[in-house]
Amino acid sequence: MSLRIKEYVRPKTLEEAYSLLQKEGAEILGGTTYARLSSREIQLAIDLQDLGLDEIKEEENGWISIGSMARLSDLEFHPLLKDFAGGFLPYVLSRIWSLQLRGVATVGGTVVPRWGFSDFLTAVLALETEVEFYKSGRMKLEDFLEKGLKEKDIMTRLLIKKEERRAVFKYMRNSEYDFSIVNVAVSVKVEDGKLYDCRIAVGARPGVAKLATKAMEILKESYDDEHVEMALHAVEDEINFGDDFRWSGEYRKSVALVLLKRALGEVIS
Amino acid sequence: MKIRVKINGQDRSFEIDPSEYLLDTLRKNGYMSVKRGCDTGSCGACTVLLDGRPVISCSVLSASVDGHEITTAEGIANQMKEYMHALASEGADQCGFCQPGLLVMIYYLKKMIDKGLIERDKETVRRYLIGNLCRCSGYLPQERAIFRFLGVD
Repeated sequence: MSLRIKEYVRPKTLEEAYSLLQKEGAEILGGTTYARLSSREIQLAIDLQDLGLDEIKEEENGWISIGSMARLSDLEFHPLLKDFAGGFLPYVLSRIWSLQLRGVATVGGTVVPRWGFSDFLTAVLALETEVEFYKSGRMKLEDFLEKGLKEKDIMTRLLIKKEERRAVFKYMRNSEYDFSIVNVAVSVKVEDGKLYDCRIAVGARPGVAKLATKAMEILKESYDDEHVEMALHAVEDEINFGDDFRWSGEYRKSVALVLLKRALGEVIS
Repeated sequence: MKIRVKINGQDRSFEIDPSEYLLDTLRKNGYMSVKRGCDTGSCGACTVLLDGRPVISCSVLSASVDGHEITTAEGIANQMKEYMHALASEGADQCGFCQPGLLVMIYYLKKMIDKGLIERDKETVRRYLIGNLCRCSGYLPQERAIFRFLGVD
Protein backbone atom coordinates (compact mmCIF):
# COMPACT_ATOMS: atom_id res chain seq x y z
CA MET A 1 0.00 0.00 0.00
CA SER A 2 1.55 3.27 -1.02
CA LEU A 3 0.91 6.59 -2.67
CA ARG A 4 3.02 7.10 -5.78
CA ILE A 5 3.78 10.61 -6.99
CA LYS A 6 5.19 11.00 -10.47
CA GLU A 7 5.94 14.72 -10.34
CA TYR A 8 5.86 17.21 -7.45
CA VAL A 9 5.57 20.98 -7.95
CA ARG A 10 5.32 24.06 -5.76
CA PRO A 11 3.72 26.87 -7.75
CA LYS A 12 4.48 30.45 -6.76
CA THR A 13 1.15 32.02 -7.67
CA LEU A 14 -2.50 30.98 -7.46
CA GLU A 15 -2.89 31.44 -11.20
CA GLU A 16 0.03 29.08 -11.85
CA ALA A 17 -1.40 26.55 -9.38
CA TYR A 18 -4.83 26.77 -10.99
CA SER A 19 -3.41 26.30 -14.44
CA LEU A 20 -1.40 23.24 -13.33
CA LEU A 21 -4.48 21.80 -11.63
CA GLN A 22 -6.35 21.73 -14.94
CA LYS A 23 -3.87 19.16 -16.32
CA GLU A 24 -5.00 15.56 -16.43
CA GLY A 25 -3.91 13.60 -13.35
CA ALA A 26 -3.07 16.76 -11.39
CA GLU A 27 -4.11 16.95 -7.73
CA ILE A 28 -3.57 19.37 -4.89
CA LEU A 29 -1.82 17.97 -1.85
CA GLY A 30 -3.52 18.71 1.46
CA GLY A 31 -1.74 17.65 4.62
CA THR A 32 -1.12 14.18 3.07
CA THR A 33 -2.16 12.40 6.28
CA TYR A 34 -5.02 10.54 4.62
CA ALA A 35 -3.35 10.25 1.21
CA ARG A 36 -0.65 8.30 3.07
CA LEU A 37 -3.10 5.46 3.54
CA SER A 38 -4.12 5.22 -0.10
CA SER A 39 -2.71 3.09 -2.86
CA ARG A 40 -2.78 5.10 -6.07
CA GLU A 41 -0.69 7.24 -8.37
CA ILE A 42 -0.76 11.02 -8.66
CA GLN A 43 0.68 12.22 -11.97
CA LEU A 44 1.24 15.78 -10.80
CA ALA A 45 1.15 16.63 -7.08
CA ILE A 46 0.67 20.35 -6.43
CA ASP A 47 1.89 21.66 -3.08
CA LEU A 48 0.41 25.09 -2.21
CA GLN A 49 2.79 25.89 0.65
CA ASP A 50 4.50 28.80 -1.16
CA LEU A 51 1.24 30.71 -1.75
CA GLY A 52 0.86 32.23 1.73
CA LEU A 53 -2.40 30.38 2.31
CA ASP A 54 -1.61 29.52 5.94
CA GLU A 55 -2.61 32.83 7.49
CA ILE A 56 -5.18 33.08 10.28
CA LYS A 57 -6.47 36.60 10.88
CA GLU A 58 -9.49 38.70 11.72
CA GLU A 59 -11.04 40.53 8.81
CA GLU A 60 -12.27 44.11 9.25
CA ASN A 61 -15.85 43.07 8.50
CA GLY A 62 -16.15 40.66 11.44
CA TRP A 63 -15.03 37.37 9.93
CA ILE A 64 -12.16 35.14 10.98
CA SER A 65 -10.20 34.19 7.90
CA ILE A 66 -8.34 30.87 7.94
CA GLY A 67 -6.06 30.02 5.03
CA SER A 68 -6.60 26.61 3.47
CA MET A 69 -3.00 25.60 4.19
CA ALA A 70 -3.24 26.41 7.91
CA ARG A 71 -2.55 23.32 9.99
CA LEU A 72 -5.14 22.13 12.49
CA SER A 73 -2.54 22.63 15.25
CA ASP A 74 -2.06 26.26 14.09
CA LEU A 75 -5.76 26.84 14.78
CA GLU A 76 -5.68 24.99 18.06
CA PHE A 77 -3.20 27.41 19.61
CA HIS A 78 -4.12 30.61 17.76
CA PRO A 79 -4.98 33.52 20.11
CA LEU A 80 -7.85 34.59 17.83
CA LEU A 81 -9.72 31.34 18.47
CA LYS A 82 -8.88 30.96 22.15
CA ASP A 83 -11.85 32.98 23.40
CA PHE A 84 -14.14 32.81 20.36
CA ALA A 85 -17.35 30.93 21.27
CA GLY A 86 -15.85 30.03 24.63
CA GLY A 87 -12.84 28.29 23.11
CA PHE A 88 -15.12 25.94 21.15
CA LEU A 89 -12.77 25.26 18.21
CA PRO A 90 -9.57 24.65 20.23
CA TYR A 91 -11.60 22.21 22.36
CA VAL A 92 -12.83 20.30 19.29
CA LEU A 93 -9.39 20.33 17.64
CA SER A 94 -7.66 19.03 20.77
CA ARG A 95 -9.91 15.96 20.57
CA ILE A 96 -8.99 15.08 16.97
CA TRP A 97 -6.56 12.17 16.79
CA SER A 98 -3.05 13.28 17.96
CA LEU A 99 -1.22 16.60 18.14
CA GLN A 100 1.37 15.18 15.73
CA LEU A 101 -1.33 14.45 13.16
CA ARG A 102 -2.92 17.86 13.67
CA GLY A 103 0.52 19.32 12.93
CA VAL A 104 0.35 17.75 9.46
CA ALA A 105 -3.38 17.95 8.57
CA THR A 106 -4.51 21.15 6.87
CA VAL A 107 -7.84 22.97 6.87
CA GLY A 108 -8.13 22.63 3.09
CA GLY A 109 -7.20 18.95 3.24
CA THR A 110 -10.14 18.47 5.62
CA VAL A 111 -12.76 20.66 3.93
CA VAL A 112 -12.22 19.94 0.23
CA PRO A 113 -12.53 16.12 0.34
CA ARG A 114 -15.65 16.54 2.56
CA TRP A 115 -14.53 13.73 4.87
CA GLY A 116 -17.49 12.02 6.52
CA PHE A 117 -15.50 11.16 9.64
CA SER A 118 -14.43 14.75 10.28
CA ASP A 119 -15.06 16.34 13.69
CA PHE A 120 -13.77 19.68 12.43
CA LEU A 121 -16.39 19.95 9.66
CA THR A 122 -19.25 19.26 12.07
CA ALA A 123 -17.91 21.91 14.45
CA VAL A 124 -17.45 24.69 11.86
CA LEU A 125 -20.76 23.85 10.22
CA ALA A 126 -22.48 24.67 13.51
CA LEU A 127 -20.98 28.16 13.26
CA GLU A 128 -21.76 30.59 10.47
CA THR A 129 -19.02 29.51 8.08
CA GLU A 130 -18.20 30.11 4.44
CA VAL A 131 -15.59 28.63 2.14
CA GLU A 132 -13.75 30.52 -0.60
CA PHE A 133 -12.33 29.10 -3.83
CA TYR A 134 -10.01 30.83 -6.27
CA LYS A 135 -12.38 30.78 -9.26
CA SER A 136 -15.71 29.62 -7.81
CA GLY A 137 -15.71 32.37 -5.18
CA ARG A 138 -17.27 32.35 -1.75
CA MET A 139 -20.14 30.09 -0.68
CA LYS A 140 -21.81 28.83 2.48
CA LEU A 141 -20.06 25.79 3.89
CA GLU A 142 -23.34 23.85 4.02
CA ASP A 143 -23.84 24.41 0.29
CA PHE A 144 -20.33 23.22 -0.54
CA LEU A 145 -20.65 20.15 1.68
CA GLU A 146 -23.94 19.24 0.02
CA LYS A 147 -23.15 19.96 -3.61
CA GLY A 148 -19.37 20.10 -3.95
CA LEU A 149 -17.88 21.87 -6.97
CA LYS A 150 -18.51 21.19 -10.63
CA GLU A 151 -14.95 22.01 -11.69
CA LYS A 152 -11.45 21.63 -10.28
CA ASP A 153 -10.64 24.64 -8.13
CA ILE A 154 -8.38 25.73 -5.29
CA MET A 155 -9.74 26.43 -1.83
CA THR A 156 -8.15 29.61 -0.53
CA ARG A 157 -9.87 30.31 2.81
CA LEU A 158 -12.40 29.21 5.39
CA LEU A 159 -14.29 32.15 6.89
CA ILE A 160 -16.05 32.02 10.25
CA LYS A 161 -18.37 34.82 11.34
CA LYS A 162 -17.00 36.31 14.54
CA GLU A 163 -20.11 36.76 16.63
CA GLU A 164 -21.06 35.98 20.19
CA ARG A 165 -22.03 32.33 20.10
CA ARG A 166 -22.35 29.63 22.68
CA ALA A 167 -21.30 26.30 21.15
CA VAL A 168 -21.11 22.68 22.26
CA PHE A 169 -19.56 19.63 20.54
CA LYS A 170 -20.34 16.02 21.48
CA TYR A 171 -19.07 12.76 20.05
CA MET A 172 -19.15 9.02 20.52
CA ARG A 173 -16.15 6.83 19.71
CA ASN A 174 -15.18 3.24 20.36
CA SER A 175 -12.12 4.64 22.13
CA GLU A 176 -10.94 8.20 22.73
CA TYR A 177 -8.05 7.76 20.25
CA ASP A 178 -10.26 6.95 17.26
CA PHE A 179 -12.54 8.63 14.74
CA SER A 180 -16.00 9.63 15.95
CA ILE A 181 -18.71 7.14 15.05
CA VAL A 182 -21.19 9.95 15.29
CA ASN A 183 -20.73 13.59 16.31
CA VAL A 184 -22.95 16.62 16.83
CA ALA A 185 -22.36 20.34 17.27
CA VAL A 186 -24.86 22.98 18.35
CA SER A 187 -24.41 26.73 18.60
CA VAL A 188 -26.67 29.66 19.43
CA LYS A 189 -26.13 33.34 18.98
CA VAL A 190 -26.38 35.33 22.20
CA GLU A 191 -27.52 38.97 22.10
CA ASP A 192 -28.50 40.93 25.21
CA GLY A 193 -28.87 37.65 27.07
CA LYS A 194 -31.31 36.26 24.47
CA LEU A 195 -30.72 33.26 22.23
CA TYR A 196 -31.07 33.40 18.44
CA ASP A 197 -30.18 31.46 15.36
CA CYS A 198 -29.55 27.96 16.69
CA ARG A 199 -27.42 25.91 14.31
CA ILE A 200 -27.39 22.13 14.62
CA ALA A 201 -24.85 19.98 12.73
CA VAL A 202 -24.66 16.20 12.71
CA GLY A 203 -21.59 14.43 11.32
CA ALA A 204 -19.91 11.03 10.94
CA ARG A 205 -23.35 9.68 9.99
CA PRO A 206 -21.08 8.19 8.44
CA GLY A 207 -21.70 10.69 5.62
CA VAL A 208 -20.38 14.24 5.69
CA ALA A 209 -21.72 16.67 8.29
CA LYS A 210 -25.15 18.13 7.60
CA LEU A 211 -27.29 20.87 9.11
CA ALA A 212 -30.59 19.85 10.70
CA THR A 213 -32.48 22.73 9.09
CA LYS A 214 -36.02 21.69 10.13
CA ALA A 215 -34.96 21.40 13.76
CA MET A 216 -33.26 24.79 13.51
CA GLU A 217 -36.48 26.26 12.16
CA ILE A 218 -38.52 24.82 15.06
CA LEU A 219 -36.17 26.36 17.61
CA LYS A 220 -36.68 29.80 16.09
CA GLU A 221 -40.07 29.80 17.84
CA SER A 222 -38.92 28.89 21.31
CA TYR A 223 -36.19 27.10 23.25
CA ASP A 224 -38.57 25.52 25.78
CA ASP A 225 -38.62 21.78 26.49
CA GLU A 226 -41.52 21.15 24.13
CA HIS A 227 -39.73 22.76 21.17
CA VAL A 228 -36.50 20.94 21.99
CA GLU A 229 -38.42 17.63 21.83
CA MET A 230 -40.02 18.69 18.54
CA ALA A 231 -36.60 19.62 17.17
CA LEU A 232 -35.20 16.20 18.12
CA HIS A 233 -38.09 14.48 16.31
CA ALA A 234 -37.34 16.65 13.26
CA VAL A 235 -33.68 15.54 13.33
CA GLU A 236 -34.85 11.93 13.43
CA ASP A 237 -36.87 12.54 10.27
CA GLU A 238 -34.54 14.70 8.22
CA ILE A 239 -31.02 13.36 8.90
CA ASN A 240 -29.99 10.07 7.33
CA PHE A 241 -27.78 7.71 9.27
CA GLY A 242 -26.02 4.89 7.45
CA ASP A 243 -24.41 1.58 8.37
CA ASP A 244 -20.71 0.85 8.18
CA PHE A 245 -18.40 -1.82 9.60
CA ARG A 246 -18.41 -0.13 13.01
CA TRP A 247 -22.00 0.78 13.79
CA SER A 248 -25.46 0.47 12.28
CA GLY A 249 -27.36 3.55 11.14
CA GLU A 250 -30.09 2.80 13.66
CA TYR A 251 -27.65 2.82 16.57
CA ARG A 252 -25.97 5.98 15.24
CA LYS A 253 -29.35 7.70 15.15
CA SER A 254 -30.18 6.69 18.75
CA VAL A 255 -26.84 7.96 20.02
CA ALA A 256 -26.98 11.15 17.95
CA LEU A 257 -30.34 12.07 19.47
CA VAL A 258 -29.00 11.59 23.00
CA LEU A 259 -25.90 13.68 22.22
CA LEU A 260 -28.06 16.38 20.63
CA LYS A 261 -30.39 16.56 23.62
CA ARG A 262 -27.39 17.03 25.91
CA ALA A 263 -25.79 19.60 23.59
CA LEU A 264 -29.03 21.59 23.28
CA GLY A 265 -29.48 21.46 27.04
CA GLU A 266 -26.00 22.91 27.53
CA VAL A 267 -26.27 25.75 25.01
CA ILE A 268 -29.77 26.75 26.15
CA SER A 269 -29.15 26.61 29.90
CA MET B 1 14.61 15.48 -6.97
CA LYS B 2 16.87 17.30 -4.54
CA ILE B 3 15.83 18.82 -1.21
CA ARG B 4 17.72 21.06 1.18
CA VAL B 5 16.83 20.94 4.86
CA LYS B 6 18.29 21.96 8.18
CA ILE B 7 18.39 18.95 10.49
CA ASN B 8 19.35 19.49 14.13
CA GLY B 9 20.96 22.78 13.13
CA GLN B 10 22.99 21.36 10.23
CA ASP B 11 22.36 22.09 6.55
CA ARG B 12 21.82 18.88 4.61
CA SER B 13 20.73 18.03 1.09
CA PHE B 14 19.31 14.75 -0.16
CA GLU B 15 18.28 13.20 -3.44
CA ILE B 16 14.76 11.86 -2.95
CA ASP B 17 11.90 10.29 -4.84
CA PRO B 18 8.76 12.53 -4.95
CA SER B 19 6.78 9.71 -3.28
CA GLU B 20 9.23 9.38 -0.39
CA TYR B 21 8.22 10.12 3.19
CA LEU B 22 10.31 12.01 5.71
CA LEU B 23 10.60 8.97 7.97
CA ASP B 24 12.41 7.06 5.20
CA THR B 25 14.64 9.97 4.21
CA LEU B 26 15.72 10.51 7.82
CA ARG B 27 16.44 6.85 8.53
CA LYS B 28 18.32 6.36 5.24
CA ASN B 29 20.56 9.24 6.22
CA GLY B 30 21.43 8.06 9.70
CA TYR B 31 18.79 9.62 11.94
CA MET B 32 17.97 6.29 13.53
CA SER B 33 16.13 7.72 16.53
CA VAL B 34 13.18 8.17 14.17
CA LYS B 35 11.41 4.81 14.42
CA ARG B 36 9.09 3.07 12.01
CA GLY B 37 6.22 1.81 14.14
CA CYS B 38 2.74 1.60 12.63
CA ASP B 39 3.63 3.56 9.45
CA THR B 40 0.02 4.79 9.36
CA GLY B 41 0.14 7.93 11.53
CA SER B 42 -1.06 6.37 14.77
CA CYS B 43 1.80 5.34 17.08
CA GLY B 44 3.98 8.47 17.29
CA ALA B 45 7.29 6.54 17.19
CA CYS B 46 8.36 8.60 14.16
CA THR B 47 7.62 12.00 15.78
CA VAL B 48 10.00 14.83 14.84
CA LEU B 49 9.69 18.61 14.99
CA LEU B 50 9.04 20.34 11.67
CA ASP B 51 9.72 24.08 12.04
CA GLY B 52 9.22 23.57 15.76
CA ARG B 53 5.88 21.72 15.70
CA PRO B 54 5.54 17.97 16.27
CA VAL B 55 4.60 15.90 13.22
CA ILE B 56 4.41 12.22 12.35
CA SER B 57 7.24 11.88 9.85
CA CYS B 58 5.64 8.78 8.30
CA SER B 59 2.91 11.06 6.90
CA VAL B 60 5.00 14.03 5.71
CA LEU B 61 6.28 13.97 2.15
CA SER B 62 10.04 14.58 2.02
CA ALA B 63 9.54 16.89 -0.95
CA SER B 64 7.36 19.16 1.19
CA VAL B 65 10.12 19.79 3.77
CA ASP B 66 12.50 21.34 1.23
CA GLY B 67 13.62 24.62 2.82
CA HIS B 68 12.37 23.71 6.30
CA GLU B 69 13.92 22.78 9.62
CA ILE B 70 13.74 19.34 11.26
CA THR B 71 14.60 18.41 14.82
CA THR B 72 14.97 14.76 15.83
CA ALA B 73 15.64 13.23 19.25
CA GLU B 74 19.39 13.27 18.42
CA GLY B 75 19.27 17.06 18.22
CA ILE B 76 17.72 17.65 21.64
CA ALA B 77 19.09 14.74 23.69
CA ASN B 78 21.57 16.97 25.53
CA GLN B 79 18.79 19.32 26.62
CA MET B 80 16.65 16.42 27.82
CA LYS B 81 19.08 14.69 30.20
CA GLU B 82 16.97 15.53 33.24
CA TYR B 83 13.99 13.86 31.57
CA MET B 84 16.02 10.79 30.65
CA HIS B 85 17.23 10.50 34.27
CA ALA B 86 13.61 10.75 35.42
CA LEU B 87 12.67 7.91 33.05
CA ALA B 88 15.51 5.71 34.31
CA SER B 89 14.79 6.39 37.96
CA GLU B 90 11.11 5.53 37.51
CA GLY B 91 11.99 2.26 35.74
CA ALA B 92 10.32 3.46 32.54
CA ASP B 93 13.01 2.36 30.09
CA GLN B 94 11.64 -1.08 29.01
CA CYS B 95 12.27 -1.76 25.26
CA GLY B 96 12.81 1.92 24.47
CA PHE B 97 11.36 1.84 20.96
CA CYS B 98 8.78 4.57 21.65
CA GLN B 99 11.15 6.76 23.67
CA PRO B 100 12.69 9.00 20.95
CA GLY B 101 9.25 10.02 19.64
CA LEU B 102 8.03 10.54 23.19
CA LEU B 103 11.14 12.58 24.04
CA VAL B 104 10.43 14.94 21.13
CA MET B 105 6.84 15.36 22.33
CA ILE B 106 7.88 16.01 25.94
CA TYR B 107 10.41 18.61 24.73
CA TYR B 108 7.61 20.36 22.80
CA LEU B 109 5.07 20.07 25.62
CA LYS B 110 7.52 21.61 28.10
CA LYS B 111 7.99 24.61 25.82
CA MET B 112 4.22 25.01 25.33
CA ILE B 113 3.51 24.64 29.06
CA ASP B 114 6.24 27.17 29.92
CA LYS B 115 4.66 29.62 27.43
CA GLY B 116 1.25 29.06 29.04
CA LEU B 117 -0.24 27.63 25.82
CA ILE B 118 -0.90 24.20 27.32
CA GLU B 119 -2.23 23.70 30.86
CA ARG B 120 0.13 22.16 33.40
CA ASP B 121 -2.24 19.43 34.63
CA LYS B 122 -2.36 15.66 34.42
CA GLU B 123 -5.44 15.35 32.24
CA THR B 124 -4.14 17.84 29.66
CA VAL B 125 -0.69 16.26 29.48
CA ARG B 126 -2.25 12.80 29.07
CA ARG B 127 -4.45 14.15 26.27
CA TYR B 128 -1.49 15.60 24.38
CA LEU B 129 0.39 12.32 24.66
CA ILE B 130 -2.49 10.25 23.27
CA GLY B 131 -0.57 9.83 19.99
CA ASN B 132 2.49 8.21 21.58
CA LEU B 133 1.85 4.51 21.99
CA CYS B 134 4.10 2.23 24.04
CA ARG B 135 4.13 -1.37 22.81
CA CYS B 136 5.36 -2.54 26.23
CA SER B 137 2.32 -0.76 27.72
CA GLY B 138 4.65 0.74 30.30
CA TYR B 139 2.59 3.88 30.68
CA LEU B 140 2.53 4.24 34.47
CA PRO B 141 6.29 4.62 35.08
CA GLN B 142 6.52 6.84 31.97
CA GLU B 143 3.72 8.98 33.32
CA ARG B 144 5.42 9.37 36.72
CA ALA B 145 8.66 10.45 35.00
CA ILE B 146 6.87 12.84 32.64
CA PHE B 147 4.81 14.48 35.39
CA ARG B 148 7.95 14.87 37.52
CA PHE B 149 9.92 16.44 34.66
CA LEU B 150 7.08 18.78 33.66
CA GLY B 151 6.30 19.73 37.26
CA VAL B 152 2.74 18.44 37.04
CA ASP B 153 1.09 17.67 40.41
